[in-house]
Amino acid sequence: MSPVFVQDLALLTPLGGDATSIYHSFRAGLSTFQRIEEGEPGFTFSAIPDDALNILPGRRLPGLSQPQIRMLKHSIIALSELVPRLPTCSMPLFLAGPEKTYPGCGVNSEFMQHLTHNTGVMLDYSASRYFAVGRAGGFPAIDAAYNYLSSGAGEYALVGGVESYFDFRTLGRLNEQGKLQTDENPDGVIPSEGAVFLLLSTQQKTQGSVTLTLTPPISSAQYSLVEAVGRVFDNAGDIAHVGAVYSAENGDPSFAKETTLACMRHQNRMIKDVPILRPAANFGDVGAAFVMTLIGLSCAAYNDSYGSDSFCNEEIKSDKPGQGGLSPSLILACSDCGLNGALLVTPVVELEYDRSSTRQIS
Amino acid sequence: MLSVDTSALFTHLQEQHVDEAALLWGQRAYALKQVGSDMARIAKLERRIDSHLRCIKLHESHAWPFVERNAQEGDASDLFVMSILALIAKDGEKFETVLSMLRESLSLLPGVASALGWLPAGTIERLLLPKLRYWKNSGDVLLQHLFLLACSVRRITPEINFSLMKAAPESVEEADMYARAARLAGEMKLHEAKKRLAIWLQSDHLPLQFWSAWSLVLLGDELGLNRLLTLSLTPNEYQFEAINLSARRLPLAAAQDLVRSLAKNKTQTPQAILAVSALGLVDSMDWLHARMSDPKFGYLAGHAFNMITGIDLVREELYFTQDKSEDDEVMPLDGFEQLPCPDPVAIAKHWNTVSNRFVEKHRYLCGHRIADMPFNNIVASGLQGHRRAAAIEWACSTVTRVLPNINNKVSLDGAF
Repeated sequence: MSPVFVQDLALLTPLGGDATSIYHSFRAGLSTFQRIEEGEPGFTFSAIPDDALNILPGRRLPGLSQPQIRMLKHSIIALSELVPRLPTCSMPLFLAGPEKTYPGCGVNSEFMQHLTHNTGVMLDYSASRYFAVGRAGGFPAIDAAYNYLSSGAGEYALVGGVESYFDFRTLGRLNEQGKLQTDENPDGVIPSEGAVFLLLSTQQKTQGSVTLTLTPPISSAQYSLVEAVGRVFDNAGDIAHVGAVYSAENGDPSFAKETTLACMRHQNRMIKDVPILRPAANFGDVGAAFVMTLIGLSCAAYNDSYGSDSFCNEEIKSDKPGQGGLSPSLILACSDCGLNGALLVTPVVELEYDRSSTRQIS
Repeated sequence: MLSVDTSALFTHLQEQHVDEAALLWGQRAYALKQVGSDMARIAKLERRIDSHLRCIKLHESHAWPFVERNAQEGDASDLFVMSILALIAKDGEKFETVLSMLRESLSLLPGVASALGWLPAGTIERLLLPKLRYWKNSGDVLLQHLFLLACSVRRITPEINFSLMKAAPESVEEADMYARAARLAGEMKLHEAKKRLAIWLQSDHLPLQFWSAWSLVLLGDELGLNRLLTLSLTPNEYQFEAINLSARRLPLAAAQDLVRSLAKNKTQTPQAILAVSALGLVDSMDWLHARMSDPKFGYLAGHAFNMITGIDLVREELYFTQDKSEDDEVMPLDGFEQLPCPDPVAIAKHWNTVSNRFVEKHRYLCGHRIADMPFNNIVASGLQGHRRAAAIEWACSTVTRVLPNINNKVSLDGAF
């Protein structure tokens, strides 16, 4: 199977509107948590600023519920940033969205019409697909893009993830299930929101210093996270040890247990004391946007370490210099519906850059 | 098609980045002063500061109003953030703002000095050297002071003619600038400055007098040692610094006399303990042990024990888990906060088992004889107290060895 490259990306999360800012805010330890004290019980949340909702002033959006409108506006902002840089051909969108817990939540055809109309993106609807499986939904979306690109049906595919927990029904359900983080439940979920889009291609982008390749993701409700990670490693073959794990843990103790177990069981494929990065501790649970956000963060981390404007990042140095000298990163996520998934992100660095202290070799 | 300036949505985050960068810089400055700080803690703070600075730089137009607001009402930490942006800015307007604030209050200088040392190594040629050339020849006392500071923090040879500097400075600002030049002469081992330093020893301006003596000692000059000894014996703002060097450079008998003189006066007990620590003789262990029972200075005596023997009181469980000094409302000395309160009985027991490793009349630092000390290792990775002592000992070991800057940023990799 030919490799698939991440050519470009656009992110919108409560921690920022671009991958570099989000990554550095995350490294700096900034958090966007706020408290709602009204009502019983008060809970913590993390939201994209309301100014983002002021786009499309005075426009009515028939056929959409309030949470859908919120997700739509976030998606428009993120995708609008990416569209000017997209190739001028139509391409499919493989979109991950919230789990369908009630009719009318998530993405529908009106949503897609407004999205394409307002961003000008040219979509190939016949090949596009939607995955309403929540947090791990990015994996089947990337898998579908992988299949599309591998079949030779096109050179480019968009994958996206969008979610907003700011929906009374969703919050009510989480509250009823005792999943929200409250004073009584410190291990609960901090609801958040986000919209992320990646441009994938079989062509390696020549601009910039770091390009990411993705391994085909493994995701299934039949596998535990440990099994999913094992299969990802089996498929990847002999690669450098993983230098960082990006986990979509959201505070739910069962996910934390799964992740720890997966890392312990596969520690022979990882560097010693591999850092497990849990950005939900900074911006909350961004749900279906999580997998793409983690890929975006890993991209910013590689650019930070190996790019022309790099800062040293000890976390992702490779212990196998013979294989490109760069460690892959492991992306992990679990959905509430039982879907577990994983994939590996490997950087490809342009020849004029290396890891020496002088960085750029003339 | 819509076009949204996403960075405008997150100005509240820019405000947080600006506030947090300054706050963390303050924490780092505090950590650098603490004898018990380790490099990992300092490096972690620096990584976080770097990340905040990176975000501020990415969204500079949104962040700058917060930077200006904080610097106008803030302290050196706020000016650090402003100085970083000003130093990497293409135009000189931002740096003029920094200068105007500095002219109002020189107490902000540490923030600018830190920013001068913070710039990544790869940017020196492009960003710093052109400024340094201009500052050096500007004729402006403040800019010349900044030039000397930059040379000091980055350990750049300044190539200045000390004989052209006045014997008696005409203003306090000029005297402060000369004091910085005097200090730089010692740090960089500028032997050509000796004559001028000898003249400045007579200055009424204490900082100039002290740094001249201090540098002369580092340059191996007896004249400086006599003055430093005088400054070591009487309370003044440089007494601890004077003791730290003179106890190491005086002949053993004279250094022991210094300790005895300080120990005679009960108000000078902390100074005496630190002199013992700098001297590094195990001969004073009984006296030091007796001080460990003193609730006021026990922590200092425990620290001195650690400095000489290298024995970690926490790892060896030689301390009281409940801080006894709290009951007596003891205010620890600056830089010696958060030290464990030693358990004299446990330490005496432990010392009996390890004392045979040490020989009387030989100086020790961190359990190593000074004569065969791995200076490089300790300066590179020890606790701040150990690094400071090892740096001074290393610089004293030869007359040409430049004094390592232990307050440098741990990693100067990268770029803004």
